[in-house]
Amino acid sequence: MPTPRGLGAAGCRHPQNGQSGKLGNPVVQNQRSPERSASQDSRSAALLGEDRVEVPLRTADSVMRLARLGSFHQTRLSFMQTLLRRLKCEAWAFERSCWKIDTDGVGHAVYTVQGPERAYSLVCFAHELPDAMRSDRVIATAWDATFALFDGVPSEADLDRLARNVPKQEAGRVSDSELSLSRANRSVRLFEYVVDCLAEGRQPDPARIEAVGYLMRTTAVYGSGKFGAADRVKIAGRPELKGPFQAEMLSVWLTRAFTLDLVEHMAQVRGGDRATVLDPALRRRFGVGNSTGLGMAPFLINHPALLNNWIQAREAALARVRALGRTDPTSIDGFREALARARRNASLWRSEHPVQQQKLAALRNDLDALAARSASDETFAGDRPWNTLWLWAAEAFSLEGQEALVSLLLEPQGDLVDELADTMDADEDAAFRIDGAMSTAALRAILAKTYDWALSVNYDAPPNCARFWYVSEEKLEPRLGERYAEEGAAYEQPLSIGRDAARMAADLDRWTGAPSVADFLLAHPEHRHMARRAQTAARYPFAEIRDNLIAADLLPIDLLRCKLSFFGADRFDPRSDRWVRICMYQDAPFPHEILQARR
Amino acid sequence: MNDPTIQSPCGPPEDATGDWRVSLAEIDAMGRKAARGAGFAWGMAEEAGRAARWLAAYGLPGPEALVMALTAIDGNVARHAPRIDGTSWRCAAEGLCPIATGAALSDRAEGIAHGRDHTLEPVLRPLLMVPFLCRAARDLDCAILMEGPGVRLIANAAGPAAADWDAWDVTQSGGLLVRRTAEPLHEPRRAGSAGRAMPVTLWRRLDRFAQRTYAPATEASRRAGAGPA
Repeated sequence: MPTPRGLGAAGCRHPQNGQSGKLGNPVVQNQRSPERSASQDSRSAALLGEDRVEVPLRTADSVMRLARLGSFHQTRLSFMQTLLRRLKCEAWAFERSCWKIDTDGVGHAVYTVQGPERAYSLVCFAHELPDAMRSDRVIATAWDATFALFDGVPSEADLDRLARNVPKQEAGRVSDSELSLSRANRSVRLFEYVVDCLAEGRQPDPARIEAVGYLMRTTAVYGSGKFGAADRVKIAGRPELKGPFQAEMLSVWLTRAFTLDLVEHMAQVRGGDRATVLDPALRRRFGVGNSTGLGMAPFLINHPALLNNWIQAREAALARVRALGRTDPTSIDGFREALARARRNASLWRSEHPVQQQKLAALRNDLDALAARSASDETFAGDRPWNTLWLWAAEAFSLEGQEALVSLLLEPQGDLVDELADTMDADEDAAFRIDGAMSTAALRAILAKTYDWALSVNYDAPPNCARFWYVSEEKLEPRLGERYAEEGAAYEQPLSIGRDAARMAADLDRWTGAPSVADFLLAHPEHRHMARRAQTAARYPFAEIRDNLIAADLLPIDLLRCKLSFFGADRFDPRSDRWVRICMYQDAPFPHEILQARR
Repeated sequence: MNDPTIQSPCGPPEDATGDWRVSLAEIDAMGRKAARGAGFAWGMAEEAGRAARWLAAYGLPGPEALVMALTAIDGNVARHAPRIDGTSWRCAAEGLCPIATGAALSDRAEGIAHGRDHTLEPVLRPLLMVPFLCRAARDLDCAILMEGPGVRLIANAAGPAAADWDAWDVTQSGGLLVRRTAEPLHEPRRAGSAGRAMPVTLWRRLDRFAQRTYAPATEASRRAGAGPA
């Protein structure tokens, strides 16, 4: 909700490698963490006073509902924010080490960031693309620009190799030296307009920038082993890339810098001596656009342990803030500033989707009410003031408003919550092996406890099984079919979690064999997928979304928004119930602004 | 953004020849889809993908073993699945399925750790069982021995060790014994993160199985669409 910030000195930590991906205790007790610095400790102690207070996490039944997940906003634990915080705190260096773009805007450029131990380089290829070929569809074969994030600093030979493969994207092949592969298309209208303005020596109209928000939109950012790129295992042990999607977020941040450099370059070519560059404040108004469709929706379902760790970190952060006994002027100021930014953001947020319009109206109302209430110092005077504010909002606000408040409460509390970012990755291999020694009664009890929302649904009733997830031969991408109107249900992907849980529960109830999961699964291999999920869900309370993912009223955009909010995206603009447009890094600093010059 | 562990790996162009380089994540995703295409339930197909990936990470021919196992088992998954009578394992076809057998051994790992031995009739592509034993040994912090005529292997948390890996890379094993061991491990193999090159023809064979999991495009699905991304 607040526009990307979270870069102050507060929360400037150096997370260590090798920490557990789990948070363990679902009840947060505010106490001194051994990792905190003395100054952080004194501040925390002052805030907490003598009394220890406890606040339980919100329950999974409350949090893991699609309507709520689909109302999440970015927080300071989101992946873009944690990335920038680290690069700044660790004093990373930056260099545009190569710029070979010709007068037609065609060529290549390299952007390198150098950390304490390693360097990473975004290799950018700018192309000439006829308008007729510009498509954001996954099946496109040419783009305005293509990119690879290189592990280190590329040699000339590496650049030659990448030049032969990166522009082809799926049809090319990258190697273990590449950490991501992506492409972007111009917003032709805005790009040309900005070039024209700058070429004539004047600044573009902020309103026209605001209406689009980006010069280029990425149409896919592939990481973790796609098209031959390095596997996640290669980077998971590096502190700077241990967190989820850090390589992808770095790639997009550097992509943004490239798009601005390119527009200024083209203005220089066109305008010569008359040309100017963007005013730094105006420059920050440009983000990177992104369209995200159904292809990404199954991710949260396919990575239950990871989803748990994202949600649990966010919920633990909320509980820590709510548990604070008293507050201080700095936090109150920080909260009010974040609220002011959130209100500005909500006023600029546009969407033509009726559902989102309704949610936006409610959000604006909620933020107005919050502003009225927090204008008075009295609001923050009593015991546990943040908790009081939270409990009021939980009753009075829409889901949009409540989840926006989560972001606002976290924003001024970097000391208290930023360390939780280190717990948001997951060792999924550790959660993979099924415990066959578990009794069938214990497995059934997990279903009763964690899947109770799913067990009483009648899945023979068409509204409860109206959809099916499948992968199409044409696009090789996940799609959502209408079970009663389309063929193809035989190709259903294992994403109908509620129904599968109910089917396994029924077979467990009928089971008369030896009472172990090992014996049950030997007879019922069709339940192996669900048994693994259930055992995972028993260990990870926020692993499972507690809604029917094949129901007629499913809105896939809820899944997309949840994930994108964890990325740090903002101003979600659903274009249908199946895809959403966002802008990334709008208002964020540029590499040359927060990093040292690389030598 | 994208999820490579589940999405379809991209196939080589039609005119590609020679070697095709793939990442471990692609081996996992392809193995999972291919096994599903050969008739395995999704949960078992996941085991197949993980096993192929695991072996490749240890520098062993996992994708090769998987494609040959799938070719042998194709459409007859249940007949190759183990039937367990006490500690003796057999199946209704020629050769136990290494995926289903590996998974069932993993499910019974606690018993193995407590000293229960298992005797197996011949297993197809026995190499594919190694990841299951290693993962179980790691989780239960013990060492597990698997041996038969001309083959011997110990798995523990550090990895697998065998004197002769080629002996495991066979169409079918002889009868096998699986039991806990207290023997120390000599020079276990180590895992890496690098992808690997394999003949493009092999990758295409896996892909042919995977293709069976994709729904043919229809006009209705095209109209419903997935959004432009």
